[in-house]
Amino acid sequence: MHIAEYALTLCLILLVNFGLPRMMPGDPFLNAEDDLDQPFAANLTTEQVAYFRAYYGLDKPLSQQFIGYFCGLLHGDMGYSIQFKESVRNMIFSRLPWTLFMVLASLLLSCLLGSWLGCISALHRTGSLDKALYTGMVLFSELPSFVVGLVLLFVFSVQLRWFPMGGGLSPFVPPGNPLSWLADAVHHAVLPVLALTVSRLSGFYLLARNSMMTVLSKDYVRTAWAKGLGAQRVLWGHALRNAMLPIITRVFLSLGGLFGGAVLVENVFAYPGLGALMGTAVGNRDYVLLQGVFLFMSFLVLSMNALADVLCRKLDPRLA
Amino acid sequence: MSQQTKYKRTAWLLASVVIVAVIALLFFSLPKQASSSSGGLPIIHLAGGNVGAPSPFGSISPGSSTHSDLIFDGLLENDENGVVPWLAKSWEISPDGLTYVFHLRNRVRWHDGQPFSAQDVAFTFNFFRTYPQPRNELMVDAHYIVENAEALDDTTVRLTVDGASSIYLAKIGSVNIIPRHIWEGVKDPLKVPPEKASIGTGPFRFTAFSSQHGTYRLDAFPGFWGPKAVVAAVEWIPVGDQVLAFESGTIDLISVGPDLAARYRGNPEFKISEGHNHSGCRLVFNLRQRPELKDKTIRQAFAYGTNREEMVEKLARGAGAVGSAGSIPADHPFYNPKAAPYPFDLDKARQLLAERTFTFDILARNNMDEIKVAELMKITLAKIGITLNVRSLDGKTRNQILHTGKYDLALYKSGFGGDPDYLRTSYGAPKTEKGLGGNTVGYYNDTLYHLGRQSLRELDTAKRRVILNQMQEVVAEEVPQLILYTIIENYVYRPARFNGWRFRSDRLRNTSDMYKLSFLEDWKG
Repeated sequence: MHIAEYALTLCLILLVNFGLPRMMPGDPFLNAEDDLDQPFAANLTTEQVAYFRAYYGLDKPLSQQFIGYFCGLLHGDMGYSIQFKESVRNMIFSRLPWTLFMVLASLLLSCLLGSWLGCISALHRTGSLDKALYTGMVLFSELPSFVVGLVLLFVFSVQLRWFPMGGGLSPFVPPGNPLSWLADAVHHAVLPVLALTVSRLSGFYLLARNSMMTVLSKDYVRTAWAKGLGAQRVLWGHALRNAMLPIITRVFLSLGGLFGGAVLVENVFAYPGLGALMGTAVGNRDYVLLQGVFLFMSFLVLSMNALADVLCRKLDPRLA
Repeated sequence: MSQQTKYKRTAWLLASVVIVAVIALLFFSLPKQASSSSGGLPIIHLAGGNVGAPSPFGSISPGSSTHSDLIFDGLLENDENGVVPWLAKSWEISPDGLTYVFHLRNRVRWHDGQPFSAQDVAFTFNFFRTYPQPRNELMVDAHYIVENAEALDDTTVRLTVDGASSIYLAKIGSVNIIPRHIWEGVKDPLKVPPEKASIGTGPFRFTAFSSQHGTYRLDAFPGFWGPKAVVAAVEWIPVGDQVLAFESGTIDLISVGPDLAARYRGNPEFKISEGHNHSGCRLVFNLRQRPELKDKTIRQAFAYGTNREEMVEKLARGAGAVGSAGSIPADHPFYNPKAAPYPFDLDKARQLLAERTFTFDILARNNMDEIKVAELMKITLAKIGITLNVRSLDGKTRNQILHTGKYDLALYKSGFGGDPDYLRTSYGAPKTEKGLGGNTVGYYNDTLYHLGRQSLRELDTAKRRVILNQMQEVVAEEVPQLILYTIIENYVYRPARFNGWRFRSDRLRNTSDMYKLSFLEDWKG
């Protein structure tokens, strides 16, 4: 049943991904004088626009374009970007590891740290520690990720010079040993990951605190306390497992959204990820690239949902 | 202490040691930072970002040809004052202006070692006719101007053009010449890999490009025929924030607005380039959509009723000028000071409107500058009976509306440098239906049309100046568009690091830009 649902959703997504960019007002080839960052000059003649349109297959009827797109996908061909003049598949897969690394690392960090702080807060729910944490986190949650990024950049890159000013790797360094490559990649990823972690932290904190408070008021927790178990045991051993369910769901559901949320951080650090690519594709109405990126992200969100489904069932047998 | 607690402690201690060891290992494995010089010559670092492969067809945007301009040479080069000989050491133009003969330099080599010849030049002009480049220097009035190109011998090439024109030499001279041995037989120029597509004769050769990271490296070409390079290489590297990157010394040049320029002014560590007033914001009228705008007194009322000094003060932060009435900026060599300006004068505007009131939609791009311009106009024009409704849209949606002509008024930014042929294309065109190329939809003026044709075909510069002066006076009287204000954009650099920067202003780019001659020894041709 679920497989059929997912297949149907995927088909709908294919249609929407194809149709939506084409329904947006605007045209990849229509530029004005001030469009200096666009792929084509404003003074293209009608014949030249027709030439480029035909080159990218946009002169054919929509049905034919869709069939071409679909058949291409079956062969693993996602087309050729109008703006970047590169294969969309290569563009997505070369940028994917960077975004994936940044997003997963920050998700893991923000989830662990946020949940830990949330649990501590819940345990001291009437105390000053909880109040201080809660106020701090609510303030944090209002900070946009790019502001956090700029502050980090200013402090750690400009003032202290501990980290590079941007990018994913040191440019023009001849390929050395893998360890040196890894060290370089990690060195470049620290600030973007930190910025994204900070901006995601409060979400997990608030969720964990809330969830933990609900669980801590349950009878079986009172029983655990009554048995004379230590705070650590009650909190981590008994309560956390039950409080984790919404956190796990959130981790997976936020994975899809994180790619979008990564755009700002990628821009601040000139990080070679997918988010920034999607931004320029929308701005330029690069239909082929948009189709590719949207499809990939939809696929990712769907698979994350499926994974969250499976995991939640494992954690809570009542859902099965 | 219980046994379990002891184990826990040991585990924590071990984990901490492992984490510290991994961090230390990674720290000591970090690659060495890129050097800032090589062989005694500096390596220049500029802000990177993917603008496409540095090849004739790879460039993503028409405004970003800096990389390929260093790799490729044109027949002529433009310096700050005009054309200078480059691949062509001399040239002759037939008296009827239809034939150009270029005499090329000897001993020029492509970056792959092959000899350069007149065959390459002829091939280039014929190839670009079949395969248009995204940036179109050779299209005038929707025609490819070079009708025929042939090599007379190894160092002489003859081009036949579609008509006599004063602007053709610079256009032909600016085309980057490509090697025949690479491009002959190519049917899909967009798919030629950068290693092949980026072979030119220029002072720098392609070394590395990553579209993903937005990095480029061009190294000085030791076999270059011309002046010696004064830098070892030019590198474009990814930086998030350009100002922070400049402050930290990561990049060597930034473009700054007036507020930021104040930070560097007077500090001997920095030098600020002298900018031009060659880019600005204009108001475009759509006479087809709103025929009442055909009455020039209404357009003049817009000019008198718009407080453009306020725009210079508030939006350009003082670093700019009120748009010139004749469109050509005051510091441009073809400027005519006799083109009568329109000072801010609400009484005069009211007088011109004679109690008539109007409501217009004004189309702006959704960036803060244009929205502010529209809002400032709305405030002052309301006082003379003109109501403006501001519509701000993203660039591509705005373009579609400009193309379909469904707007009353539109704002957009453009350049006013380079050759003033834009007077002809903006105001002297036959009636046009789209407003993408800077022209005024539904506007036709017989005098401007004929003067425009004459200016395009006049070969004598002095005579052309007279025609352009006349055009500016007519434009000032007619106000087919209103040039609101122009801005000066400056570049900042550290002279101790590199002092050779040279900047020029052209029509296509909205700002003056550093260019090829920055990195070469002084050259008189």
